[in-house]
Parts: sequence; structure tokens; C-alpha cells
Amino acid sequence: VLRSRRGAAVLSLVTGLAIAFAAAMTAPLPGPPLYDGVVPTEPYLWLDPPPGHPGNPPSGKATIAVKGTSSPLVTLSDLGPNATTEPQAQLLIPPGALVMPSGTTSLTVTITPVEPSVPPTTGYIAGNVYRILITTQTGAPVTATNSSDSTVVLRAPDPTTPTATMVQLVNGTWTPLNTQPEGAGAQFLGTVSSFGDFALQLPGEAPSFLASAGPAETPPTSPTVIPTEVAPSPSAQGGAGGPGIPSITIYAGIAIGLVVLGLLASALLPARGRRRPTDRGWSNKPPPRTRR
Amino acid sequence: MIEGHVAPRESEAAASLVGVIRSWLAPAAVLLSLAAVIWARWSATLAGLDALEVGLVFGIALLAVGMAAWPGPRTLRRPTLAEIGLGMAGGAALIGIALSARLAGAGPGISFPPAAPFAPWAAITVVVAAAEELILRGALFAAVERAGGVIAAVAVTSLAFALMHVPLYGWHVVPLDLGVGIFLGGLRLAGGGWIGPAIAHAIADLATWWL
Repeated sequence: VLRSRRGAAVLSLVTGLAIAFAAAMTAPLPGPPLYDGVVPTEPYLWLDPPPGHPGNPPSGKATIAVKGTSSPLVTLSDLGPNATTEPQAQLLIPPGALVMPSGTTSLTVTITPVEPSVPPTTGYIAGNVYRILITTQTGAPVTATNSSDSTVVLRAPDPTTPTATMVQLVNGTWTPLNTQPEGAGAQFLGTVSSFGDFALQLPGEAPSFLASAGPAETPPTSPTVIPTEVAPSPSAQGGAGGPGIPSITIYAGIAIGLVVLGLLASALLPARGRRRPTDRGWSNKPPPRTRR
Repeated sequence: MIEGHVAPRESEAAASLVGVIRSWLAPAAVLLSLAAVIWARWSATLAGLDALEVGLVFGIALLAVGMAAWPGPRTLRRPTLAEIGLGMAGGAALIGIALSARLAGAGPGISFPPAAPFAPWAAITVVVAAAEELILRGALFAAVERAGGVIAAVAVTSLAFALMHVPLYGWHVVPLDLGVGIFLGGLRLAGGGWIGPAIAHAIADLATWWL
């Protein structure tokens, strides 16, 4: 098979697809594979920054209107709706996945970095502890259904962290959650059914630079209040175009279509003044012999 | 007499060795340049510089390396319909892998797009994808193929493709990117140029905004 170029091409295509498919199905890298596009990897903002590391992590807050008896889509990050940097904590709850008291008209969602109240029994906490709460307009706490896909995504400080366990503080004990890597950038996704304090836990001893960590010189920034009735959807970061197809998708489709048309035109249209590859402006033939 | 027979053989062997080393100098130079650019990008990322600006400079640096290592006119010839079609089909296949894994339950079912405005993100993503392919499936592939043949070219470029992503994404991406690198090498062989892999690479990267 390898004797011909075509055979090598077919073998490479089949082998590569098989390996990539197997890796995507088994490797801890869910979501779309990234082949080194631009993945913003922002420096981690510490609540208690180690020396030389930035502090003052932001908080996120949203008030979401409830229409009817079913809970709405809830999405929020610690950076608010118009984030231009990578969030460190995110919450995504699909519609109908919250258990709300009757008479609920609005939900208040907050993501706040807090000091850890207790250390984990094994390993150490990587990054900040985030307190994620959802309450009704009366302040009553809200929980999620056990069967839902309610998820919390936390980013580890080290962008090369391959695995981590998301833990939730339950009755004074850090309890591990079902955790999966969430794409590139050391983000990890945990499935949750209640809300409170969440963190990423790594095995072993904490790095030495964490030992000298201390509180930030200035307090954390005040929560970012989102004055919208509904929290922004994930796709809203590119600018939603209202109901239907988001405008960013339309513009992107037009741009991609133009690029493809250009490539097709480049391939199809006859080139003016195209030279053959061997035409270098002079003849390859040797000069005619002349009699002396 | 014995010395007279051995000396030519030794000189032939030495000449052959020198020839092999010379033929691999160009691939080694491309790989070293690529490593330097990767290291610079990683350092800039750790320093906390703006991710989009780092990505733009990274793409330009890759383009510069690719152009400097440009092996000849065939590398930048006009794309053919077959290359474009192969590239689009390859991009669809790579998206299909992600969707299949997600449908099979390997993925979390949700994802957030990169935290950046779409337009500059998409532009830089396309530049980086095209520049990587210009280097890997263009210059490096041609250089390694001259030195060691087609299989060596696919193997070296795929390995380089997998390893160059480790600093940013970690070791767990190696199996996936190794498979994708081999696949893109197959596209390079099937289409005859680097445009096909570049189209597939760019499509797969751009799709991450929505997937």
C-alpha cells in the first residue's frame, strides 16, 4: 500500500481519523478538538495572590426573571456578560432544571470568590474557592434536580493542568463531584445538584509558591450586576442577533462563504500571464553549436 | 591492496553519512525555528500578555518561518479544486469527530465559546491555522520527504503537530493531535499541497466557536 503516494495518502487519512476518533472518545478532552487556534489563556486572578501573581478576582451577579412555573436558562460567569477575558468560574443550568418554591418571580445568581473555610483532607485547593448561590426574590435558596445537567466550570491556575477534581463543601467537608475536563485551558466541569462553595482539588502537596500566598492588598471587586432580566447565553459573547439565527453566525457564514468563493475562483478562473513551472524566463535547451 | 579496497568504502560511507546529515539539516532547522516560536508564545502567555495580540504575533512569526523555509514555487502554487474539496471534506470530518464523541457521551454536552470577540478571534485563528500548515504540511513536509520519504514526512510532521500543542494544552492532547496530524498529512498527500490541510485546519478551529 505504501509503495504508491495514493496508498500512503489513503492509509494516512484512515489511520489519522481512527486515532483521532479513538482519542476523542476516550481521552479526557471533551468538546471540540482545538488544533491550536487562539485560546485566550489569561493569568489567574487569586483571592490570596502568591508573590508575583495578580489578585482581585471579580464576582458575577445576575437577576433573572421567572415566567411561569418552570425555571429559565441560567448562565453566568464571574466576569459578567461582556467578558473579554477567560472566566475562572462559570455556571450553566438548562431550563427547567431548578427546584423553585411556588410564587417565584425572579432568581438572583451570584458567583463570588471566598476564603476557604476548611482545607481539604487530601491534596490541596488549586485556585480560588467560589461561592455560587441561587436565591429567589425572597432570599430562599434554590436547588437543582438530580437528573439535570446543571454544571459548574472552574479554571485551574496552571493552564497545563491535565486533571483535577471539583469539590463542593457539604456539611463542612469537601465532597468530590463528577468532574470532566472542559476543553483547553485547564477548565473543569462538575455536575451539581445544589449550590454553595466549589473549588478544584489537586492531589499531593501544594506548590511552594502557594505557601507564601496572602490576601490581596485591595478587596475583591464588587459583584458585577447584570441589569438584564435574563442572563446572557453562552453564544451572546459574540453578539446575539435576537430571535432566530444570531447575527454573528450570519456574518461568519458570509465571511467563510466569501473565502471559499475566492478559493474556488482562484482555482477555476484562468490565470493571466501564467507561466509554466519550468518557464523561468530562459530556455532550458543548450545553446546551438556554432562552427568555429 | 586491502587498504586500497577499504578506503573507498569508508569514504563512500562517510560521504553517504554526510549526505544524510545534510538532507536532514533543513528539517532540523525548520523544527528548531518552530520550537523557538512556540517557546516565545508560551513565555508571552505566562507573562500575562493579551491573548489575541499574542496569537497574532504567533501567527505572523509562524508565517515568517514558513516563508523562510519555503522550498520552492510548488509550495505556494494556486489551489486546485481537488485540494479545496478535500480540505472542506477534511474539516467536516474533524467536526464530525467532535460531534460523534459528544453524542456518544464522551463530552459534557455544553461548552462556552472562547472569551474573545468573534471577528478578531476568527481572523487570528485562520492566520494561525494557515501558518501552521504552511510550516508543517508545506515546508517541513517537503523537506522531510526529500530526506526520508513520504512516511517519514507524515510521521515527523504529525509528531511535531502533536508536541507543539503540549505547552498550551497539556500532554493529554497528544493522542488526539497526533491522529489529526496524520490525517492532515493524508490530506497533504491526497491533494498535493498544503492548502487542503490548511482549509481543514481552519474549519475545525473556527467550528470551536459554536461547538
